[in-house]
Amino acid sequence: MSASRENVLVQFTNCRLVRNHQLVKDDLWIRNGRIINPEPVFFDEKNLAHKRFDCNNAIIAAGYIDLQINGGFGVDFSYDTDTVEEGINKVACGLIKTGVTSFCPTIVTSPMETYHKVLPRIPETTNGAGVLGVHLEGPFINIKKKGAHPEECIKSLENGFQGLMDVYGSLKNVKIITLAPELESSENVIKQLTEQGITVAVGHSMASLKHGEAAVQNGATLITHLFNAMSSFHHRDPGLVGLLASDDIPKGQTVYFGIISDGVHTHPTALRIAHRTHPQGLCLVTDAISALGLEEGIHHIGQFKLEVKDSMAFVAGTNTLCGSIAPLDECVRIFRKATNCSTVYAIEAATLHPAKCLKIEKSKGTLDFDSDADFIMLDDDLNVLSTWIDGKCVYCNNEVTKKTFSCNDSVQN
Amino acid sequence: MDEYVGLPRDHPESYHYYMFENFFKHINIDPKNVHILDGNAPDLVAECNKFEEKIKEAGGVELFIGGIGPDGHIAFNEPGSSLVSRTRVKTLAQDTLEANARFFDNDMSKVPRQALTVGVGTVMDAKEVMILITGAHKAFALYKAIEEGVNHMWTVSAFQQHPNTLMLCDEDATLELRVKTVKYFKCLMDVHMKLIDGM
Repeated sequence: MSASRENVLVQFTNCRLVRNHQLVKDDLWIRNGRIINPEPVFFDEKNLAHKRFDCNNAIIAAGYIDLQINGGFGVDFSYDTDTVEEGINKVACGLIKTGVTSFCPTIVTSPMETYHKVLPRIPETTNGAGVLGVHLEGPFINIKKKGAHPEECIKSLENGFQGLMDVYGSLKNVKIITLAPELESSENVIKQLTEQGITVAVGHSMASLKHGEAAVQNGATLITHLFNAMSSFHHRDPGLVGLLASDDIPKGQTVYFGIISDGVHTHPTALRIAHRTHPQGLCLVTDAISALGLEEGIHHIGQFKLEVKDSMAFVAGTNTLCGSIAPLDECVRIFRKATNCSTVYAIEAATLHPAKCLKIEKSKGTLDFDSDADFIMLDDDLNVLSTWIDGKCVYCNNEVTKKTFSCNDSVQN
Repeated sequence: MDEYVGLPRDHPESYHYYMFENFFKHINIDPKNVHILDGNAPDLVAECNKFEEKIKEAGGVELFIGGIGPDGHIAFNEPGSSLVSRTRVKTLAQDTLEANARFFDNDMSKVPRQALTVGVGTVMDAKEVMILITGAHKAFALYKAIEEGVNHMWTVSAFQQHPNTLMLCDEDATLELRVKTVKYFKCLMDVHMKLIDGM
């Protein structure tokens, strides 16, 4: 907190806020990187704002939160193990123009050395979107549902929680762990991880609904990319998909699920089915790969040669998709169109729901008083007009408003 | 002009909250120019006296805007209030408590029993008074206010002795008045329009 901005009271006016599950015409007040209640400022401090910004009727929402992203802008979190801090910062800066203000860098199934090398070097702060903690997707998954994960690194949970700690080394910077709940000894592992404050996610799994429910009862709260890398829904064994309508979830607990709405990885009808079945749990994720944000053409990333064509990423020279590259703001737009949901819901699916899933909704994911001033301005088509982190403008799509907002654009080209 | 005693300032029924949500936050008023009685002040009587002082310091009230209750009260000057009263703590009448219950989940135990209010005398000192009266349920009070005598049981009647009072009503509020009274004031509109025509 620099002295120059200490206690500067900023008022955003002529805007519509996403608040209390509605769009309300109201002003947003921020000070010292927090969203504040203007009423005590008015009656107790008797202060007017030091700065007032006219938002031209823009929608103001909490910044988007991405729970699953493998890399982007040429960076791969699982493979660029020598440049962890740089890599994360590069992605953090690139993400802000997509409206993302917080994310969970995701590491796919990897050799033990990778975890030991990378996890301790996750930066606490970045020059762009904030890191909420790492999402460890694997290696304790079902080999039959490995997707693009390297088979030789997949491990069992036979050595229980201690075995898991040996593989990862430390859970200090970890926020989410995806595992397959049908693995032996998973119940105890899930319990212990939950006790340590880790969000346990189920995925890359062939679990039956029963296994899924047991995992939830032991503390699991998230399903990793619903529909992908799991048993298909079957009417006599709904599998993990069945968690969306299970009657065996502990009272007061919500099962959240990540879903990729890039228009490719999930059929729009599947999006609608998931949305209609369990709207409170739906979280939009990108599960984006390193090619996110790169222009059309061939790219060499790590050991891979891939081609970005028509906003999709293929193994170079083939028609095989190799992962998603739709940014989160695009996913929100596609989702709203596919499900015809309200603007507020589409936004909450990328803000409030992921925040609640990680139990951080007191500071992120909403515009509630006392939460962090990480927010975005959107037009009615949900295009990102500007991104603000810690109360400062870090991205603006328009040269004029850039000056008005004193935008310190940290998007690196 | 008034505020409940003992209600948290950010309670949706507090007048601080009401005024902020519905008025202050939509205009560019300087907060230093806003004075609302504090129903949570440690010394309520001192708070009321200070309020009267603040009015004097500001040079007196230029314009007082208010409504009336179905029992003809102005601010919280319940029936029986002194017509020369000043800002003070007032215990609310049963009628008022019942009328307010709907804002407090119909739970009488939650309804504030007391309020701080400007007195009838305080309002009489204002240069101009404007009372807004709408709806059939206020009609009888309006009748008592202007067609009957000055009476402390219908405190708004005190303004019959104020040099500059304007009562803004809708049709329904005039339902208990004599047709002659209503016609007289309606005809004044023509005169008024002719006077301001070409201004």
